[in-house]
Amino acid sequence: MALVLISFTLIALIDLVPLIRKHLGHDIIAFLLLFILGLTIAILEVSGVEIPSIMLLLGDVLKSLGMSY
Amino acid sequence: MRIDKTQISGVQFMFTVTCFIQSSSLLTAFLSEITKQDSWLAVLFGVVVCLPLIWLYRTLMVMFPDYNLIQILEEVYSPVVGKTIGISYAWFFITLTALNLSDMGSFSKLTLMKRTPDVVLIVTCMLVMAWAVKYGIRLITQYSALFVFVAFSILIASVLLVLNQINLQNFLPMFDLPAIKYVQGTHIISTIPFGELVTLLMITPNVKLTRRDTTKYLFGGFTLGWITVLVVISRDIAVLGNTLPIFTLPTLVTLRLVNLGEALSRVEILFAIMLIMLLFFKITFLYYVSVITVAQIMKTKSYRHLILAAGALITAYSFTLYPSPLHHAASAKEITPILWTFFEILMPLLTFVIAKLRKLPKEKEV
Amino acid sequence: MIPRRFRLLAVFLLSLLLMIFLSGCWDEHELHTLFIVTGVALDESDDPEKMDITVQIAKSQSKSSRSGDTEPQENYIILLKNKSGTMMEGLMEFNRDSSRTLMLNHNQVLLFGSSLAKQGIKDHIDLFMRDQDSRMEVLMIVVDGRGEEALAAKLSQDRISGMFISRVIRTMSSVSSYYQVRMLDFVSRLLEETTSPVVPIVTVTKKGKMEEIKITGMAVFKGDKMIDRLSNDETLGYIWAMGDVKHCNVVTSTEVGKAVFQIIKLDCKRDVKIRQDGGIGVKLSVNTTLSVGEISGFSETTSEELMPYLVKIAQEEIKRKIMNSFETARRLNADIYGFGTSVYRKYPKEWKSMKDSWDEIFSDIELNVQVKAHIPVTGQITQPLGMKEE
Repeated sequence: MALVLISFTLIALIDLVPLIRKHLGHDIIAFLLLFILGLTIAILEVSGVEIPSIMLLLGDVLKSLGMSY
Repeated sequence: MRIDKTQISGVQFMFTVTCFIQSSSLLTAFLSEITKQDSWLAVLFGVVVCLPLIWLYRTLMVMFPDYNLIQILEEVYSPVVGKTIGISYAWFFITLTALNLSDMGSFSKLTLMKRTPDVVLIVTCMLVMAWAVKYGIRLITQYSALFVFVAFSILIASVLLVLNQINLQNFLPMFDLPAIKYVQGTHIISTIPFGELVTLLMITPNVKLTRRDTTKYLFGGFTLGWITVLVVISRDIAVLGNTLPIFTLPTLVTLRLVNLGEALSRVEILFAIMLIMLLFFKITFLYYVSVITVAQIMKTKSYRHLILAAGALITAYSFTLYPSPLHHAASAKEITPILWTFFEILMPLLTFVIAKLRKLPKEKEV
Repeated sequence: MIPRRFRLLAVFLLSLLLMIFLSGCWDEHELHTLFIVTGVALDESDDPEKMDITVQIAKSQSKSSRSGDTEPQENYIILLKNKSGTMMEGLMEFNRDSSRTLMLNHNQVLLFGSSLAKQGIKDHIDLFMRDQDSRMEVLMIVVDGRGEEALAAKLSQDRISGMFISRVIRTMSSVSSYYQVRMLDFVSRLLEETTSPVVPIVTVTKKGKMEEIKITGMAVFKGDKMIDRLSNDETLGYIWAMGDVKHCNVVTSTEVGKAVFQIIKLDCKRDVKIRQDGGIGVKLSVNTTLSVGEISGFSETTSEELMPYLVKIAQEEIKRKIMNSFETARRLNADIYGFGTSVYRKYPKEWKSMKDSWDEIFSDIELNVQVKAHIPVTGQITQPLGMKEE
């Protein structure tokens, strides 16, 4: 857990700070999107929360539609 | 608007294509389980089916030489619809990257380093790849020729080394499986690995070639690639025979059986080298494409600052994808081909048709 | 732009990271922490739920051998024994109770005691197939008696019996690859369902203070259970029928004289046909090049008649042995040759209905053996001593 938090903080420091300094709006939004998504998944995983797999979910959807081998 | 200004040559492009396909030649288990001794036929069918597909990609590249895929989507559909479709492609590319990453991790964990937590391996590799992505497509594809050469050398060596164990009878009987299996096998091989070439559409602006050269290098690379896959599958069928479908990594078993006197044995290390090398290339490439896609959609000034965050996301994401390699294999056989068909076949085809109907690209006003 | 100092630091840290993690600290495999397994034997246990597992370990210290001195066996090998329900549990127990980890990478042989073999071995080989460490080329052997005897044997020729057995078998595989049954071959034949796998069988005999291990034939399996055995003679007939034989001997003896031939090359082509009545006809066409090893007798034969006569008796002997072995297989109802698979490969559609009644069809097979022999040389002398002059 600590490792996850440290690494994400590092990432934010290395990448977010220069972006804020340069006032690059689009870049900041894109960064935050990826960052928050990544952070959420990482924290959930490290805490042992089970994250449903997207691929398996899509698989179930397809199977229920009858579109699978 | 160009995000990444580096350029790659036609030859580099060709070898990139080859490398891309070759990296999938080592993970053929999901095909061999379905089509067994006729897997080589499935490969050939897949090639035939994919020729028009590759032509489609080439046409899109030639029609819009300065646009990457997202830009094409925004141009052909409205900016809003294009962006939405683009977001689904972003998911597609990120998922592809994460899937290949988890493949690399599970292979290394299975055979090379059993007790090292796979996080360590994956994060370490991602850091190196992030470094490469930072420097642009040119660096990433720079060594493609070398990788292809090494891969081919190992391939030829491996065939020669198992010559004494090849039994041509293992290819019989042919066409004995239910027809649906051939359809499934062909579908699998067309979407994984051949169809994944759709990712090349993201680097179109970086490849400045004439119409003819684009065709030449694209199909050239594709040919080198499918020949590799065919040779690998055929060699494994010839050596392993009816035991082929039970192994998760048939090529590894084939290489382990090499036994020419006391000195030439235990050459499975070659397999490991080839796999890590090629997968590394493919993942780096997909990583780059994912980052560029996000950058393009969000119209950011540069993509460099997104690299680490994207890397972290991909790494974390790769652990959620499948609870076990068994799920991965089952999904690869049944679900993945159908999902990928949307991104690799349907969308490009539709885009092409609509572009033609709307008479795009518009001729520039003189 | 990131200042140069930071970049250098980043590069340094990354390299350090790579060095630490990619050199596999977690997975270090130091020699002194390993036990190198050279043979595994599985036997029936008095506890019906379990089996006896014996593991032969080669000691990795090199000892300078004092010439003329026979070092006691204990200096070269260690035997670990265990009673377990499955192979995996057995391994775990071994690892738990010993100072080092067992390494299966170099395991040469997998020995089955004959009583365990009769019960069925399919369940026991799963670990060997699944585990990445153990190899598909490990040789399968059945021991006439208990497997652990073979591992404990003190041989005069070799210190480590596991390596001895594997060397003997590998030498024999240069005669015909069918003498050597790797785990992969065994599994492949099991998967064929109608084929009866055969596995070399060894016997341990006492000779004074030492023991001797000899190959005494082939164990015949039906499915994964051993049902009977082929003698060394019958094994020859089987090997010849499978083809691709080199450096083997054909011994013939008639009222006219004795002759021993050496096979330089023997190939056997197999042709299966479905008969009118639905049964199977198999034609084996043997093509062989022989050299005359030694002759004695033939005092009534002229040197002109000699050559064709030798060819004739060689051909007859080969045909006789092959037919003999086939009759044994037919009696046991064991398709050791894989004729069923040959039918499947040639007639996949008809095979579907024949598969289930293969036992009956096999016992009804019409076998036709044709042998063609060529003898290009007769050695340094042209006639045996005592042959008639023209």
